[in-house]
Amino acid sequence: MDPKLVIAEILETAFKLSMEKDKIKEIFEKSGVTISDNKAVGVNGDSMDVLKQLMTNLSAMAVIKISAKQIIRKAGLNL
Amino acid sequence: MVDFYDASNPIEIAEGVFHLGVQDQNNSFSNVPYLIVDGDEAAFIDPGSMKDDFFATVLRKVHAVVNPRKIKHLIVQHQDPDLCAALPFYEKISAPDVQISCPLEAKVLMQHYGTKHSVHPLDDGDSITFGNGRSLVFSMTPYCHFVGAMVTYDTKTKTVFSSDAFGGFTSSNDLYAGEDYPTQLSTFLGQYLGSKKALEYALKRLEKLNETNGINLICPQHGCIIKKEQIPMYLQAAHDLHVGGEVDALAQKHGIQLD
Repeated sequence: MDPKLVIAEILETAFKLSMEKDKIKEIFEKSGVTISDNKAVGVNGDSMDVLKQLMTNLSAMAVIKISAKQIIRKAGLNL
Repeated sequence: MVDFYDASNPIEIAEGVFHLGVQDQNNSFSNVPYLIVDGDEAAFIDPGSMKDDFFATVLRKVHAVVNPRKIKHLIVQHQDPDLCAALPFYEKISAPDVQISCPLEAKVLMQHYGTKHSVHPLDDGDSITFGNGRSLVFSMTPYCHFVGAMVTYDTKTKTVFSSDAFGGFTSSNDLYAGEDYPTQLSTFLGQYLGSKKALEYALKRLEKLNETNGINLICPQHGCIIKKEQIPMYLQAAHDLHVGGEVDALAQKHGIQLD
């Protein structure tokens, strides 16, 4: 599965799990994800590298990181 | 009808059943103790955390419902600290002869919270009966997610207190499961349960209970209450869960064949 689609699903799910939307967006943008209208619309650089960086930065939000791990597993990606 | 809970007011969700929930907006991990009051007695299920804000909220709500000296039973459905770290405090302010009960395997660990009363070990089918005849019946749900885990059924209101089963990661203060709850539930249970067999046993046990006695509400320790009309949908969602995924991921990472 395209890592960009995985990142988009992680963001969409994050908004269902947490009301801390500004914090979520900040983490995604700091990781190199471009967000528009609360959706991930692009990445700055190699998408696997962005995904790896995102997983590092998501340590600040444990539940969102748990969800991200599940989505990555389901997509068959191996970080 | 109340749809949201706050930090001040307990909510009576069924006759004599009070939701004492604490929202956790920052961590998406709400904590919901339940207090059952019948006549001059009360039972407190999973009294909760000692984390300052959680503890203060639950204590405030307990006092709003009942004189704590009327609490005759402290019931712990498994031994995790989010469910029962506050137990040593509550045993001090409950009835002098309060009985603390939990599954046998949890009892072994519960002593380390420092409770003074001996802990009564429960087995599948055990029950507690109030003076007015209302019973709480305990059903063991082993390995879901701890070997000494159980759910509790209130015969009067047909409410199941499901502990972690049917729990979800929520940051809002919604009382009842809404459109995002399937995602919130599957994220929580999908990660915290390791055994599909254990999950299937727990689900089928609840289905049998629903067929024979009826279930009006499922009240988990985290997240939102599931109403009667939502129960079939959430039972199916739980049947569809993939659990134990962390093992698969690490086995793949380390080249370990498990089949």
